[in-house]
Amino acid sequence: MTMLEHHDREWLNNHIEAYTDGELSAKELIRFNDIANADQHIFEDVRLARQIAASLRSVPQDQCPEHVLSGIMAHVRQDIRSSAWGRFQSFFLKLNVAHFRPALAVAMLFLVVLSSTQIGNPTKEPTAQVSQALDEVKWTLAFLSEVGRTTGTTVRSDVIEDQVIGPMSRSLTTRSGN
Amino acid sequence: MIKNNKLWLLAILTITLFSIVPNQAFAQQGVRSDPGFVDLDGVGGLNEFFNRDPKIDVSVEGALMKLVAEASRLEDPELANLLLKLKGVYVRGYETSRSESERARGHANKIGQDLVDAGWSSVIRVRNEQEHFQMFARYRGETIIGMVVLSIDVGAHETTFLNIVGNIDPGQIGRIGQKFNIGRVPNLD
Repeated sequence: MTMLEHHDREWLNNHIEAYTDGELSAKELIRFNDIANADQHIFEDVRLARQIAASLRSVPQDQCPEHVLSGIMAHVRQDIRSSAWGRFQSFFLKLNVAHFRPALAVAMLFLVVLSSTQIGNPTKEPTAQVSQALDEVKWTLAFLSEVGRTTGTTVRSDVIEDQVIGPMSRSLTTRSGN
Repeated sequence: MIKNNKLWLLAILTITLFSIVPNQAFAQQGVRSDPGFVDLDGVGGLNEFFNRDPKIDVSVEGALMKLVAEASRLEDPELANLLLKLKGVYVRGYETSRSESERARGHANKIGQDLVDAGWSSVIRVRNEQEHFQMFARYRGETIIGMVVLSIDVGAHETTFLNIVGNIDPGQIGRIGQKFNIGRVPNLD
């Protein structure tokens, strides 16, 4: 048997069950047939494999009792959980938390400050207190605007009265008196 | 090692408590220690002077001021931006008879002098038969950080004391204030 034949034989042995079960792809099936045609003993192996498969199928299968099945599944789930927790723990143990304590403390402080500032942040719907305060602030701004306007007018009137109209009037009175 | 862990836990808890609890309190205390703040009740002794509570009593400051600013953002973004620059708004308004108004003029003069002595600048002063109006400003560099208005309107029987704390642009206040109705007095509805 050549090296190539040995390689083909090994490939064939690995695929003989798939052949008998009809699970080979078209390409694999062509290769299988090519190799088998070169060695008629292969078909004997195929026949034997089909016979074993048929015998196995004919053996009656016992049903696994429900309580055994559920016990096995519970065990499997516990194994999965414990292995996940183990991986989680080992991750943090590898981190060497002691070195990260200052960073963790700063991060926690940052989160606390951030959350406490968020407490005072506005909600979408203003509360009655906020609406009342908004009305009060608007009133105050309106008051300031109003007094600013009237005061501006008063200042101008005072200036005009004292420094323009008064002197002009006095001047005219003096002239008419002359 | 366990003792060390407990110390760390204690430190973190202490920091947490000190960060949460006084946060809101500091916001108010911060405004009241601002150089632009004037304790109208304390400086003028207003309630003692008028011997009654004010008809208009507005104190919007700290976190509430921020809430008010944000509440107005949708309706009026320019107002929201103005309010975000303010730290506190305080108003005390009294209904005053003519004789009370005359007496209040002297009291307003005294308050004004106290403010000037404390470093405030007198910006506007109008005195005539019908009104007595004084406006004071406190500056930090070129910026106004506080404003006080003392207004006695003899004809309208109204005496109003007002303090605004924050970064103040009088032009912006005048422009935005024009949009609002002064007729409806808050706290009385």
